Amino acid sequence: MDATLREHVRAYYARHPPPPELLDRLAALAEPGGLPREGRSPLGRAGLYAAALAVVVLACVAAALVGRHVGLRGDSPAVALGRQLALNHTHPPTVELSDATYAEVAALLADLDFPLVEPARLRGAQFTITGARYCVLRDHLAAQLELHDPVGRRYSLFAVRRGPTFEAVPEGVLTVAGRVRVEVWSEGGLLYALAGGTTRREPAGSGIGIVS
Amino acid sequence: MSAADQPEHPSPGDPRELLAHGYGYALALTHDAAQAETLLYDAWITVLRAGGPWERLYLYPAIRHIYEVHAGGEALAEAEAISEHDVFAADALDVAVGDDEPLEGGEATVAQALGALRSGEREGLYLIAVDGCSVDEVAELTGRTRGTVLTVLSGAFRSVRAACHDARKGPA
Repeated sequence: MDATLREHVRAYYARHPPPPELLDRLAALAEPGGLPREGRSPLGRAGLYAAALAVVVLACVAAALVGRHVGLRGDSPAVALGRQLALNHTHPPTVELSDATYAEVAALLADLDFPLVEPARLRGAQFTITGARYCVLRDHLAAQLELHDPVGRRYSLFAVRRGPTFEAVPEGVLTVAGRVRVEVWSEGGLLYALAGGTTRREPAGSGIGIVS
Repeated sequence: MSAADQPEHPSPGDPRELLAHGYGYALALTHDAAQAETLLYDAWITVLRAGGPWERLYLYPAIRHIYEVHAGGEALAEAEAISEHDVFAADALDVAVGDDEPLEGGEATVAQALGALRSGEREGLYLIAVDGCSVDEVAELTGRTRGTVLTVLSGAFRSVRAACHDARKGPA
């Protein structure tokens, strides 16, 4: 007998449950002291900004509530990671900085399970670090640094420990949705990714793929 | 943030069931596992930092708000833009939303049909079919009017049914 549409929808989402490791990690965040620590920025604005972000989001939530009361795509690991990087790239940093060093960012993001260092590939690139936040990449806690180049273009640099989850991710260039360029490479046991900086599509064959 | 900065949460207990539902909801919005992980992580951090209760009424709107920010509001705006004048007769809508007719389609067809829906349509289907929400509860969670919710759901049901019907007929 054919199932009803509701049953089909229920079955579809039952076949795509959350990774247990993700639930464990998020549940651990709710334990006392479980939230990742983000230290105060040299400008002293970190706490204010983080609080402001939380207040804005929750204000919208509260306003909506008060107002009312009164493939999945068959993604390869590279494609899935590319989408996640591009999504995080749109997110503002939790901590605003002014030309910070990697050591200062590492001190702010003290809960990372790896030493955050400047990748050799970016040395001499004249980027300035203007912000930072934690993010999650394929269920791993990662660093996201906001960078600006000398002409003011905004980039996001991601760093995460290169564990088994990322073994199948090749190095190269992705273009996500025809807009966000993401370059992925490995250094010193870490996986780095640099997103942003251009809006053009990579020429065919120049990278590891285009994510539509 | 130090341990001292972390607000006392008003909802002791294991949040995994809520988080699993939140993941499903984020998956319904994005139809992408990686993006669902990111949305859920950011929304959960936001709820915890604000000391919000561990409830669907807080987590879902936080996920939805962050999704709107990430997506530039485009995807959900499509659903919001549906005119109230497009609403079908109320009795027909209730029949559509109460849909209990067998659906001619395999798993792959339904999965493909879900992927082709707008995010707002998948959101409505998820809330109705998986979370068991009433139309009024969907309206409350999504900030839409009851009429708009019914219109969105009716369109989603028709699209999935049409896709399954076409798949059964095969290529012309």
